[in-house]
Amino acid sequence: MPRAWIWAGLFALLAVALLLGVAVGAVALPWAQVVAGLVDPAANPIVFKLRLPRVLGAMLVGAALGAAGAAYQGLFRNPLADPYLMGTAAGAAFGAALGLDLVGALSPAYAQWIRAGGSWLVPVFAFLGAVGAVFLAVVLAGGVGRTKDLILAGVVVGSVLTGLTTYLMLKDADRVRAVFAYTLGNLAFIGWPEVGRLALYLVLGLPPLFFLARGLNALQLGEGVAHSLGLALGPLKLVLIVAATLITAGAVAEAGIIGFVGLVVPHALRRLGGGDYRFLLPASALGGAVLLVFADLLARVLVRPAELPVGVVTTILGGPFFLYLLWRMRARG
Amino acid sequence: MLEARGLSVFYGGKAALRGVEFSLRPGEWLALLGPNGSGKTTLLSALLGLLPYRGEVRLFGREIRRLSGWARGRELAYLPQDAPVPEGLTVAEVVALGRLPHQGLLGAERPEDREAVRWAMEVTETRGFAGRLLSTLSGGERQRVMLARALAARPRFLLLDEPTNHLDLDHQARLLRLLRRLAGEGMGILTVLHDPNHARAADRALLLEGGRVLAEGAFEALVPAFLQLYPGVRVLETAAGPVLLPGVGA
Repeated sequence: MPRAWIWAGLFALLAVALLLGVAVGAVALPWAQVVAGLVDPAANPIVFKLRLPRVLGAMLVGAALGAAGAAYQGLFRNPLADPYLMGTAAGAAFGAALGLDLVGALSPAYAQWIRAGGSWLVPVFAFLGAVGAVFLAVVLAGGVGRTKDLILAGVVVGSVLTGLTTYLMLKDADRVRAVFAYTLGNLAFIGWPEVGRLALYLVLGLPPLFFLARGLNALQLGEGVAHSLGLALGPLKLVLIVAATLITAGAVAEAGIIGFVGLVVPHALRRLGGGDYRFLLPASALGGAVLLVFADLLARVLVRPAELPVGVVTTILGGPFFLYLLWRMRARG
Repeated sequence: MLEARGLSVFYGGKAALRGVEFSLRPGEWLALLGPNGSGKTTLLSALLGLLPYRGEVRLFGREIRRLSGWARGRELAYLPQDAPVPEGLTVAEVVALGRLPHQGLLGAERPEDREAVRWAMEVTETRGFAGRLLSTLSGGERQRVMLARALAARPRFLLLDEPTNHLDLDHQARLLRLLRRLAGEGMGILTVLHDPNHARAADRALLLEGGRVLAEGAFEALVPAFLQLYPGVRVLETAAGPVLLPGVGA
């Protein structure tokens, strides 16, 4: 499919996602009010204070996961790589558990309380846990030289941290719920401050990834060829890991663990528009943004008036979709 | 001129190359021969700066470690033995990656880049499938695309690791003729060759054994050294010169 069509389609879907995401919710809003609320912040507080930040947050988190997923799939030359491969998810969960342990407050509305700014400690610990896990994996792998060792170290760090998190959680039942609720992907608590922080992570993390897109292309020919073409592989891999970790850790700290977006989006776009990372990285960011807004929309309406955590929706829908992709790939030979 | 002086490589204290010396001029084709594990691929890797080494590797008089990656990439192109097949990249996109050392990461495509890519695809006869995904080609076609990618840099020296592997006899002959032609046009060529008979197409061969240079010279002159090294090999004298064959039976 021509890439211009894909871009046009993605931007059109993003616009639709924005309008639907703002229009749909517990209170039904007529279209005129939706548009008015988007144009003028004072016109409708539901639009501007509640729904718009949530939709923008979904876009930013989706963009982070899509781009990080594409970067990791390219870096590890592995179609099964996802943004959490290097241990970010387990690290964030461990950080959150540790933060909750230190805070000690476990009211039933813990998650809301934390997200409402009741404790800055937990999100900061989740972010540091995610970054720390990747750092530890890189150190254990003896640097970024051997890609296979990086994956192994990421898996090992991930399982050790998951074990430690379970240990912390087992102290009492409330803690289990608290950590679980915090790490389960959920966009319900995203407000303007979260949107601001997510935007900052993306502004810092996305440009290096886009800058190195052609390096990722060369890496697809093998490390020996990439080196012979003049690329400094050590710095290339290090910058890719740091940038992808930054945006993933930001997304996990603000919205929890949301599966499948970072795995499925780069896959689908590679099938549609090819594997040139100059296309694939920005398109995966855009595609991730679109997918997560629609997934969050489903999370809000499927069990109305209650809500599902969006991480549950992406995992339930993502699995079958992924199987469908594999099946189509096999059908085409 | 590409030259090595006292080139040694150690893997964890064990020497994989010991004091290897050679020089290669532009327009000359040197073949690397030797048994499995004799250090042929290690030598190529060291020349490319993929491995730490002792001694010197000089490119037109300058130590290759002092060159920037881009500068080295413009002069030395490399075709590995088994490269992974990139997913979702077309033949044209793969060949265009060969221009990376000239363009850098963000460089736009200039007329000379397009011309070099066109030429590389022309000589390797890969223009016919420029728009196809590399993963849909046969092994032999892929090999030619990878060669086109290496040639697209218009390097002064081309380093190839067993380029005739996986090719049928006709494609082996075509590849050897193409390398001969490129040497004739002034490119310096260094090939690791699995089948010593292919070294007949080269100007000279370097016979490696245990990380050392055992003998150096034209293919015919190396035949006695071969027979010493491989007791199972027989020589068939033909009108075109000696041919080495695996001795079977009596």
